Formats: sequence, C-alpha cells, structure tokens
Amino acid sequence: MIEIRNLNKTFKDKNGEVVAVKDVNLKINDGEIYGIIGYSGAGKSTLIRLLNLLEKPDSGYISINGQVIYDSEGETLKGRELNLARKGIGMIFQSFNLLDRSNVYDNIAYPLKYTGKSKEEITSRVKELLELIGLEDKINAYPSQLSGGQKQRVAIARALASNPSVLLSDEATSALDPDATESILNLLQELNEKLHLTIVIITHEMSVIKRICERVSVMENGEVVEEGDVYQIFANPQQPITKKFINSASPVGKLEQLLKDNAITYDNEKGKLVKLTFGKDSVGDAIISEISRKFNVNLNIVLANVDNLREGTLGNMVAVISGEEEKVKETIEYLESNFVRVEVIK
Amino acid sequence: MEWLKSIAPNLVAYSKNFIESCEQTFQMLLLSGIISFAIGLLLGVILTITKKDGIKPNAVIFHVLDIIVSFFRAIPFLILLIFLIPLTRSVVGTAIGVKGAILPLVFGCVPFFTRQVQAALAGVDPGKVEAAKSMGSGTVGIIFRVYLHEAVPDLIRVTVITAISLIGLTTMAGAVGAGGIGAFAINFGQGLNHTDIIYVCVALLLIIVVLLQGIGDALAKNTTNKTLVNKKYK
Repeated sequence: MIEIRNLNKTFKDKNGEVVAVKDVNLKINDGEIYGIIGYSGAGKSTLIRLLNLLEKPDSGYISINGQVIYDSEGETLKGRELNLARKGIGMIFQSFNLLDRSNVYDNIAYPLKYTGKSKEEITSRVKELLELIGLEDKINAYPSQLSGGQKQRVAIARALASNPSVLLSDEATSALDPDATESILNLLQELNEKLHLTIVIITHEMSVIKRICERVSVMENGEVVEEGDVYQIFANPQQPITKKFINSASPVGKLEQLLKDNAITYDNEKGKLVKLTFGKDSVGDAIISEISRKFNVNLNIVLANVDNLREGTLGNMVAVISGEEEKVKETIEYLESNFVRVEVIK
Repeated sequence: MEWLKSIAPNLVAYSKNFIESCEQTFQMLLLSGIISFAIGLLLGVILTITKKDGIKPNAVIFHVLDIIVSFFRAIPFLILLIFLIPLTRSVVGTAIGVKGAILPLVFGCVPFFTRQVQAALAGVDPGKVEAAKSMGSGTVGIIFRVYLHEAVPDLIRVTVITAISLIGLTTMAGAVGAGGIGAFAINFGQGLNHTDIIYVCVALLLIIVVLLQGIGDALAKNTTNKTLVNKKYK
C-alpha cells in the first residue's frame, strides 16, 4: 500500500512561490491501478516525483508497502537506502528516457548490472522481460530504431527489471499515437494482473483513466479536489473540473456547445431536455422503448454514449422527452425508480 | 634527400634541430594533453553535478571552481606563461624547456577543456539522469553510466578541439623558451631568415591538425547512435 499524508511541496523562484502539491492525502492499495488526472500545472507530475523522492517534499509523510520513504517528523530515506528503495519503485516517463547509445539489451540490463548478479542471470532476466513485453526480436536494436510504443515497452521492461512492487507512470502514453497508447495500456493492465503490480498513472487524458484505472484522484492547483472509484466519479461527478474532464472523454460532452449553437430545437412547452445516466443496474434494460409505450411520450435522442469502465458499463444519453406535462413528469419518476439518474437541463 | 635539399636547403642543414624540436612538441602535447584531459574531465564533471539542478548540488564547490576556471580562461596564454614562472620554478625546478612548459600548458588548457566538457555533459538529456535515479543509481553510477556514457561522441569532439588549441599553445610556449616546432620556426626560420623552415613548420602543423581532426571525427561518428545502429544491427 502507498500511503500519503499531508504532503506539501512548494517551488520557489524569483517570481515568488508556486504551490505544486498542497496537503495531499491518498491511500493506494496493493495491486490497484490508480489514476491521478489534472491539467498541466496541477501538480500531478510533482506529486508522482515526490513518491520516489526525485523531488524532496517540504512536509508530510510517504510510505510504500510499510517502508517509510519520507516523514517530515521522523526518518527519511537517504543515500544507499534510498537507492535501494527506488529499486522497488519502477518509473516510466513521457519521453521514455532510454539510453540512446545502448541497445535494448543494455537498457533493460541497466538496473541489474553492478548488483552482484552474474552475466547469465542478467541475460536470462532480460530475456524474460523481453518476452513479457513481446519484443524478443529487438534485443540488439537501438532506441532510434524503435517506434514510440516499442520504446515505451522497453522502458517498462527496464522499470520492472528489479522486480518492483510499484510502477509509477508519468504521462507514459501522452507522446504516443492512439494505437500505441492502446497497446501500452493493455500491457500495463496485463502486468497489473500477472504480477499483481500496483500502478500509479499520471495523465491529462480522461480516456486513459476510463480505460484501465480502478480509482482516480482529480487534481487542481496542487490539491486533490475529488477522489474515488472511477465508476462512481464517472456516474456522479461533483466538481466542475471533474465534469469537464469527463465531458472531454465523451460525446455527451458536446451538449454545451450544441446548446450554445442552438443546434437542439424542440417545443419548450411540451418537451424537456434531460440528461440520463444509466448505471450498472439499468444499462442493459430496454427502458427507452418501454417508457414511450407505457407513458405515451416521445423521445428524441440527441446524444448518447456507452463507456466500458473496469467496474462495469456506464451509459449516458441526452434526450428530449415530449408529451403531456403530467406524463413527462411520470416518465422521469419512473426512470429514477429504475436506477436511471435524470438531470433536467431545460 | 636530394629533392628535399633542393626545396628546403636550410631545413636539411638544421635537420637535427628540426627533429629534436618535433620531439619536444610531441612531448609537450602528450604530457600536458594527458594531464589536462584528466583534470579537465574531472572538473567538468564536478561542475556539472554540483550546479544548482545537478545530481549533487553544492553551491560552494560550484562557485569556487567556476570562478577559478573563468579566471584562468580570461588570461591570455602568453601572459599566463610569465605569470606562472615562479610557480613553475618552485614545482618542477625550472621554467624553461619541455619540463618548464608542462605546467603553464596545463593551466592554459584545463579551463578551456573544462568548459568544453561542461557543454558536452549539458547535452545529456536530464530525463535520462532522472530515469537512472529512479532505478536506484547513485552519483558515481550516474556519472559513468549516464553522463559520460551518453556524451562519448561529444567528449571526443571537444577533446579534438582542445588538442588542436593545445598545439597552438605549445608553439607559444616555444617562444618563451620551451623549445618545440614553434621555437624552431622562430629561432631558425624567422631569426636566421630561412623562409623554407617557416613553410615546412606551417605545413607540418597543418598536417598534424588535419590528422587529429580526421581521427576525432571518425571516432565521434563511430560512437554516435546512428552509426552504432548501422554497424551492429541488421
């Protein structure tokens, strides 16, 4: 488990102080894929760098698997002990950071060399890791011969070489094309399941969170403003910034623009514009055709989207319900009693 | 020999002095070059790791070294030669000859090379250093396995540039009694008005420089990633 308590970090420069991380408290469970999302400058990259002390916190407490990494009121890891602890915390980066003058073998062997391991042990471990990432044939290739996705795979293998229990991913897919992003996310999920690896993912893309994370923190101005199950956050976002992120990853997010452009036209007297959220308990039902039959109302679907999250399927729909006023009201009540969240927009 | 005698009669006449001065230049280059390379590389690494965002920040060491390097960089070499005479005497016993020239040559060469090493190491992506840190590499590991390893082609390039400038310094040292090709050209070429000697000295220095540059370029090219790729893979 990763435990973070009251963590603070402020950068000082000639223009004054910049609060990068402010009073952050998090608990990340073993074997979990945990996402931290925020816009650039939100402090998420600083936060992840504090976890392996690439940046030194100002105050607070960090422990990983019971080992205290940092404690402003007690012992903090230093020197050799810190280097040893870092071997238990793998990290991958947006720009891969492979050694350009070393081939794939030497890059992956980097953390294994000078640790007292024999050459045979290192070779067999590197081959094992190459198999894990599916790049056995690239063992002698140099980074400049690999695609972005392949480079990130090699970086992942290198980060896992000394068998860490935690993998920190700092925008690891942000420089990749959609196909490579997908394949890296698949690999991370596979590693999470196979090795029971705890993965902390920093990203600005909600689609990444949606795709593989179980829990998520939303950061803004150095603070965690919202935290919880990805499913819950998607089904019922609280903070404006969270809603913004979710809209960015869903076609339903276009609603605001459509309303602004007056692209949705309907009879305001007879109809209501509603946003429906179908959770796990209602997403499979044929509820739309059911209500139109039952209450004699018309439904005009404006936007719809289904997300397949790790915990289950989540549907969103924006529709105009029109009919007699009483019937529309009954429809909405019926929907709510069937586990559909209804938001009347207009 | 007859042919050489016909185009450079004076050189043939003083061939013994010529060969001796070539040896002196070679000795100065080799000795001061090796010492300067070692010291300059060390100082360049220390300055790189002790700077503010380096891997072992230390403002005192950084600023003291930085000022010393800048100070010796600022002094023209001929003045430095004279300025260092007392120190040279007290260290090696004499301020003339090859022996007396090594110390001022090192002082003239090291600051230049240090700055070049700093520039070469600054070209190493900080992300690579961060990745090495995250894998548990210590200071020594990062210096050798990331900084020096990744900067090899650039280090070769700056070593050649420095070696060429060192040739220039040895000829200047020759002017104040260190011997070598520079002194030979001044004493026998200019002093005795034998222009053929000057021409041969110029040609010889030109050949040395071209050779050095050629070897350096080839080495640098062979150690950069692109060439590694073509040679070892496929």
